Amino acid sequence: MTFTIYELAAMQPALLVMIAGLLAVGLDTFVPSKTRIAHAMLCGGGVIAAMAALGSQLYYQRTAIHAFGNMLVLDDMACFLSLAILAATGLVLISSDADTTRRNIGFGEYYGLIMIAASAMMMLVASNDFMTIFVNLEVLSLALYVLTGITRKNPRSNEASVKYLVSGAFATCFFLMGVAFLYGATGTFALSGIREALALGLDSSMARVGLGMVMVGFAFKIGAVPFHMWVPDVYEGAPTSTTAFMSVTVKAAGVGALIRVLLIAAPMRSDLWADLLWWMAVATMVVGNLMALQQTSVKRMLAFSSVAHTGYALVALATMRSTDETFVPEAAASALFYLLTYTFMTLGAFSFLIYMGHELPGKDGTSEWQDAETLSDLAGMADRRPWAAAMMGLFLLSLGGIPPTAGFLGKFYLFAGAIERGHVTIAVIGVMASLVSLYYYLRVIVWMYMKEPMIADEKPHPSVAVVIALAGLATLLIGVMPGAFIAAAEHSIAVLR
Amino acid sequence: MVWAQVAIYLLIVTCLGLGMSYTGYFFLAPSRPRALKQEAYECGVPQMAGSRERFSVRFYLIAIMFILFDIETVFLIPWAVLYKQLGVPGLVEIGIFFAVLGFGLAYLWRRGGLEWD
Amino acid sequence: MLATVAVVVIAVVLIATAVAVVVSDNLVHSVFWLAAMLITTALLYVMLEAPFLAAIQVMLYTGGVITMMLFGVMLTQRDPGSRVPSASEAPGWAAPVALGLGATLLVAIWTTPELAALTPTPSGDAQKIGHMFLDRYLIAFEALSVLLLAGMIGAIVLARKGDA
Repeated sequence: MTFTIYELAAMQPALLVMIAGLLAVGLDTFVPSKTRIAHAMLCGGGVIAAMAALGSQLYYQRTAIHAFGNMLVLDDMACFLSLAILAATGLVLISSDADTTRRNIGFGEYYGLIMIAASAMMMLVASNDFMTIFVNLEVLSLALYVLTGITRKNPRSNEASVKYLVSGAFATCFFLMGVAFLYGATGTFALSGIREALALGLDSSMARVGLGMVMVGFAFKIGAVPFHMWVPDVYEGAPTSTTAFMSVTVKAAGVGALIRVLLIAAPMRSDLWADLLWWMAVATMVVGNLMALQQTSVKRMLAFSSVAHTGYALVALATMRSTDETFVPEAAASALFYLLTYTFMTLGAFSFLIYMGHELPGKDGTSEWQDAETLSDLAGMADRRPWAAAMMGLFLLSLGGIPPTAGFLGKFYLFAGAIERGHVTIAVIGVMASLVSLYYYLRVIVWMYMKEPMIADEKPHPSVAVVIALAGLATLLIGVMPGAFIAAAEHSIAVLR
Repeated sequence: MVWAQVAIYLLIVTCLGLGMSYTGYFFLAPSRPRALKQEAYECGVPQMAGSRERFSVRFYLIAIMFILFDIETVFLIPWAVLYKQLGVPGLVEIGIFFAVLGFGLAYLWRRGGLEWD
Repeated sequence: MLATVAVVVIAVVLIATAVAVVVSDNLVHSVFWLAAMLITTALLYVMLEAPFLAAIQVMLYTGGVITMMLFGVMLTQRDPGSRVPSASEAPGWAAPVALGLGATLLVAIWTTPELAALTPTPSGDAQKIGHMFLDRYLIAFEALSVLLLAGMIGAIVLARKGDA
């Protein structure tokens, strides 16, 4: 294949991240005297270099690069989501410092797998062909299966990893079968090719079933109801920094790829998929919030809340077709913006649980690290650590959608848009669901501020404090001045053709 | 449809082989099981333990590595049959593929994945 | 005519072995039925004039994956000769859902008048696949090396000796 250096620039950001990850693995393996600092600088450098590459693409290039026979396209949406993924990856790299040192995890491999997953996600949101979508989906899933089970001595971590692997393989079957059906019906893997074939009258029932199965595959990966069963167990069992990583980045990458598939491959079948997504979004919001209500473990509660937030993001996709039958692809911008706000608030909330970790005496005189998980772990900690508690309060209020946080604007933008396009029912259901969610978010705040402390032996890790501060800053910043971010999201969708 | 004939041939061969052995097993061989005959054969000495004991997890590592490099070899074949046609660009492309996997092999080696103890 | 008969026979064997995988109570038997199923799939590839794919199917799946599955069974079987009931513990709705899905797929294929994928020539042999890998789908091909690498790292991380 012949290609220009210009095309290579399309995958440069993802390539930089991957190379940094491989170097981190190599450093751990081949260099005798290695320090954590070296790994952190290597991976952090990779993330920053990739961000710089994306920034220069946005500033100087401006037009989308279609590379390698249109297998990859680095357009504004890919840049937007890649930047969100990179920001999350950078924050997770810092907060993983706590998990890796506390639990004695090999940090070269840990960082390496995170970087490999991040680079696959960046390629995924830039994929314009089912072949690249599938391979990158698998690379990121494989890295996450391993990251979930990386604390090998912890049975819950092992169980989570196996559960994730089995349900993920099941989802992959659906996805692959759907792609095969689409290929059978249209004769191509390219998203734009599928659209042309559908327009030429190859719009058979086989193509429709294929599209439906592809959507089921995506729904599994992003954890939408009724394909969410694995989410609570996996998020609860995985090391908390991994949970933080996958809860935000996989959703950003998965929803991004889904938007691209729907808007590029099948815009004219929006009558079919919009209805499907409508029910999925409603079920996801309702089930996620109702299940979160019943949890006493904060980590599990956050897992169900992340299911609910998937539902909110899907509202934007489900209402892309307005009630007077016009197709409004710009609606997807509110999903992108929501994913951005969700990234920082969820990452912050999970990081707080790592921050509040404490040591449990183990069986044979050793001690074992335990992240804060239950409400009683957090009881009355606001007196001891007012700043951390305030930050957690901010994240929870943002997740609940209280102004002036990012979460409020994200939800406002979503539901206002839905109503504008005539979808009042789903908007009302969404607002009701957020009201319900306030109960369990506020309950954590009540425990932090109004209960007597039960345990007071947490050993905060300084680097996690940095993550919490940065995530809190981002949550406030997006909440106070959202203009630029909303404009970027809208522009991303506007050029997506 | 030459390949259809090949497939039919393979099918017949398989059925014939299975059919002959199963006919022998079900209809011809006398079946007089005894406890001693049911045991696994261990060179004539009495059996020490069941034949299906648990394997060490190290076998699994070896099996996984085998599959990974097996797949790698399979990917080599399509390139090998047309490497003259593809020329230098093809060599570079497959070189990158192998560089990544060579890195993997080196990693495996250094981590002791190839050692038994 | 002959080809049609062959396809029908292969299909029947394929479905029968696949059902046997699921209903067999003995894990080892299940794995062997799976091997039979995979070889039958290879026959299907031969019928579709894709001999290279058939060879790979036998090499990778029957040779590699089945070996690994057998190891997996041997690793986990605590109680020799124990049987795993194949019937699903729970729901009575699993069968209707599976049958419904199967019926949907069948109807979808049945009602589709023309299959676009069958009009271009099948990319059966190694050269055509090589052109696909190294030309059209180059990026996906290179990404596969990363997939294999991630698999290696994962295997070492999860299965190596030592603590943590």
